[in-house]
Amino acid sequence: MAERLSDDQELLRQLANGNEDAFRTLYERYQGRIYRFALHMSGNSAIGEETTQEVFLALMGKPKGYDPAKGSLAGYLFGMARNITRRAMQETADDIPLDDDADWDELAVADGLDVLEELSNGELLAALRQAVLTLPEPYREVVVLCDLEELSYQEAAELLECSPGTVASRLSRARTLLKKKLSVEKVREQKCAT
Amino acid sequence: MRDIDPIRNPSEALLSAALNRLAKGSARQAPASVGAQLVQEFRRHHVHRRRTRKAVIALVACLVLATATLLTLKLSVDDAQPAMVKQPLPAVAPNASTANPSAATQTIPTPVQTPLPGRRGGRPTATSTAQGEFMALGAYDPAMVSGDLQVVRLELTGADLRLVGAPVPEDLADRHLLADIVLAGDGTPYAVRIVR
Repeated sequence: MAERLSDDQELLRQLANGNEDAFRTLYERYQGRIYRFALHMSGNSAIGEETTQEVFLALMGKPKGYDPAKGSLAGYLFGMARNITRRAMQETADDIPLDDDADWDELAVADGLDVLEELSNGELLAALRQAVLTLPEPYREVVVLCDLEELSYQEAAELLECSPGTVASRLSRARTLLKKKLSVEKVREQKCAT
Repeated sequence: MRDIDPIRNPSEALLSAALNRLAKGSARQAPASVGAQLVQEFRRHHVHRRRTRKAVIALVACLVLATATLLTLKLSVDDAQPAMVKQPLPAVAPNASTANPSAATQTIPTPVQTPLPGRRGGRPTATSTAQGEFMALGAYDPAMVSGDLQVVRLELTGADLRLVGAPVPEDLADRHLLADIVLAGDGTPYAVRIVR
């Protein structure tokens, strides 16, 4: 990890001096994660591309904006990606309104209800994608980072600038919300069928 | 990824599996076009930066060069000034050591004191505080003076001044000297005064 950090700093120094290979290396190292993060957060590939582009444009325009004392380069880039994604979603009004948790609490859907088994694979993925997008942003972030990007609580906590405990509790809450959303979706489908 | 017991918590296991499939089913990379555009932008950005840097360096170099040149000139002028002060220029006035002995004959303070209609840029005002007096040159004939007179300040070598009849010692022949010269309307030099 420390080796990666110093490597990042060296690449960043070379990037600042106009070394194209250094830029390519950093881009290849981080573009996938940034793109997927923005894509999963927004559900919009255009925002994913725009975010990736803006993050790296900012990096090449102001490489000295990164302060190693404040954290890893990945954290710095993710911080930018979060802000850009949020702004892009607000601008394009693609952001799906966040659901109020209380609405879900009112639904009498038992946590153990195994409605997921009843969904086909395609239905499940489509419903899950939609459910993730309707999660409140703090919950969506931890699902994207921990469940979709498979980062550890510690890594996610560093990127989100919060404690691992907060990540764990948010993730637990997010999963409960997801199951409830999927259950409600299933109930709606059944009602429509009848 | 958290380890979930599928027997104790089947819905949690299903959700994890579904999220895993969702992650794998999503695009893994940004489109190649994004990377290509960024590389193009990187090149453009750095070409522009290099040009700007070169221009700034050239500008700074020019400024340094100009400053150094000005300082050198100022120092050389300052070096020359004490040497001139030592020269008893007014004393040279009616002597026979000039290149043209017939030229330097009498002192004529009138060109400075008389208002000169054709004088330029207020320079003659400065001559009133200069060190020496005007020395008449060979071409000066009080009876023939007519029309406007002009006082011009020139920087000439000692040798050049000697050519017009100014009483400049030979050892100053290579030095650049500042002199006020009284010119007739037709350009004939009537008198000269060494300023510096």
